[in-house]
Amino acid sequence: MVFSHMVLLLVMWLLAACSGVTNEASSPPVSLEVNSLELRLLKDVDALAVEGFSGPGGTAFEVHVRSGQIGQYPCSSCHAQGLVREKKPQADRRWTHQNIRPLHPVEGRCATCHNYGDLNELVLEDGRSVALDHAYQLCARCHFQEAEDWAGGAHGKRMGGWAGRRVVMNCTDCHDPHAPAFAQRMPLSGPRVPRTGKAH
Amino acid sequence: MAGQISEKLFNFFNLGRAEGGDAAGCGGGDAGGCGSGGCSSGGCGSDSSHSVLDKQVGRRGALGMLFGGAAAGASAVKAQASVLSEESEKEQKLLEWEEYFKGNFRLMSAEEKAQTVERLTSLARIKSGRNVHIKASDANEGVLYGYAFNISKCKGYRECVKACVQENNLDRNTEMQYIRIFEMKNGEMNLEEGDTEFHHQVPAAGHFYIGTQCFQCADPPCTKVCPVGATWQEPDGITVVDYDWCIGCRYCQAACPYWARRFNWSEPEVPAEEVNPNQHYLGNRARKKGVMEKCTFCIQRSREGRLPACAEACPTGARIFGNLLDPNSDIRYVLAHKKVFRLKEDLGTEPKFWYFMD
Repeated sequence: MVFSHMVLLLVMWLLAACSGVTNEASSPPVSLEVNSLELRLLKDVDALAVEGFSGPGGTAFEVHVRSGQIGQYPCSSCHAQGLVREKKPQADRRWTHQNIRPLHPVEGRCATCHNYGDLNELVLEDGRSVALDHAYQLCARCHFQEAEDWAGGAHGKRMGGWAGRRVVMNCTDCHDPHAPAFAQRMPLSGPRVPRTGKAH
Repeated sequence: MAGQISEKLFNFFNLGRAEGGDAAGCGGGDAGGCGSGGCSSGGCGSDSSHSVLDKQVGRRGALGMLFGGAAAGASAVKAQASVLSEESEKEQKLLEWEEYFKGNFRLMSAEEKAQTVERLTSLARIKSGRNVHIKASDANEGVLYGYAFNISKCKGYRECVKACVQENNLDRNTEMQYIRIFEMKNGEMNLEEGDTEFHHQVPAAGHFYIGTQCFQCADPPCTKVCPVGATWQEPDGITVVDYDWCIGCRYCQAACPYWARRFNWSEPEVPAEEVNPNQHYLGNRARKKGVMEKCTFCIQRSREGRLPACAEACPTGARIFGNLLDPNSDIRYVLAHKKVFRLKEDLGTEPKFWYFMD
């Protein structure tokens, strides 16, 4: 009696199992597959080899190319010959750089950093010209301690991951060179439930 | 999956038949009792080549085969009888039974890991209608993760907290957060005097900010007190929790001197469209009510060579992450060139999380 009952159960279960086979888990869509190698190689990240600095243990590293993200770059599209403006300025104040509040460097002038001979580039205090993408070389002239930490990895931000190719952000990726200090702003929402310190 | 259950069931019923004429003696219709009783007395394993006892199975595995098979059969009958029962509901029940009787993650073979990952993926799809990608990857060779936090740089924006909540699928209902940012008066070093609930323009004058999370101690007190071995330190130094093995006793929470562990008082809620599909078995996969969880240095990211979400989100570069065993890593540079300190060093927990200042 019990035995026949079991056989019945088995048959019914098998029926259910057979219909369930079509529900087998399908593989995740391709978009979810993370290609960690590509990630580590920082695919699609534009970077240049750093000149004049080496990373920990004398290793070479790269710096993020930022010039492509500057709206008015290249400067030569307006200033083909030095400071002379070639095109008629637009109505927008930004085209004549009136939006810039030059807070930094203190007691500096535009020409302290900008190369008036070739406005696509920056200029060091010894007169050498430096491309915009190597702005760290200019910053390092005064902020040498920060630059040393930046090359070593204690200052600034690394792109991609902790492994593989080392690409770090340029100084100007985070700091506005005309007003480099981080601004005050409201923080994102914190915990609502009191649970630490004196409110524990 | 379905085939596996049917095989177990087949074995189970074969077992009944091996007992042959004695079957009536089992009586009562209690399938589980019949199977186990018969075997313990009769040595049925040697009689039948298809017997349950032919296989090397543990106590939990055997229970799973017996009860799992019986319950699956019962639920199948129910499903066939009811026109309202849906295919997915049935599949979910079967998967949950299989999941319930699986082993501790550390004892699983590669095949068993793959099976449970497949079941969890299917379950996630049934429950939320979304595809997730769960990994069960092991620690990378020659890697020991370390973290450094620059208290001169942190401005208290809490971008890291938001990134952590999103990355790790933290419960939105109780607003669980792994990271706390303390606002401290300049010169103050007692975190109990810090304020984590600041809500004003930051950085505030005369204050500095210091963040805490799990420090992935090299000698963790939390893993020692677990009565069931549900939490342990991986070879790459990350302390993890097997959410399916945790019994929710919260001993580890009491043992942690840094308040780094969190308990799920209710079923975690994450809106389906906000679920991060890139998951790890020991990391940000779906948790459940009554289990512990904690920061894992974003194990699903760090084992791929990526930075933890907090380190990537930090707008001021206050967070440094890397491999302590690589002498040319960023973290090793910080340890070699900066004055670093750790919290409650006198306890000897050896956190792998250092604070430093410019």
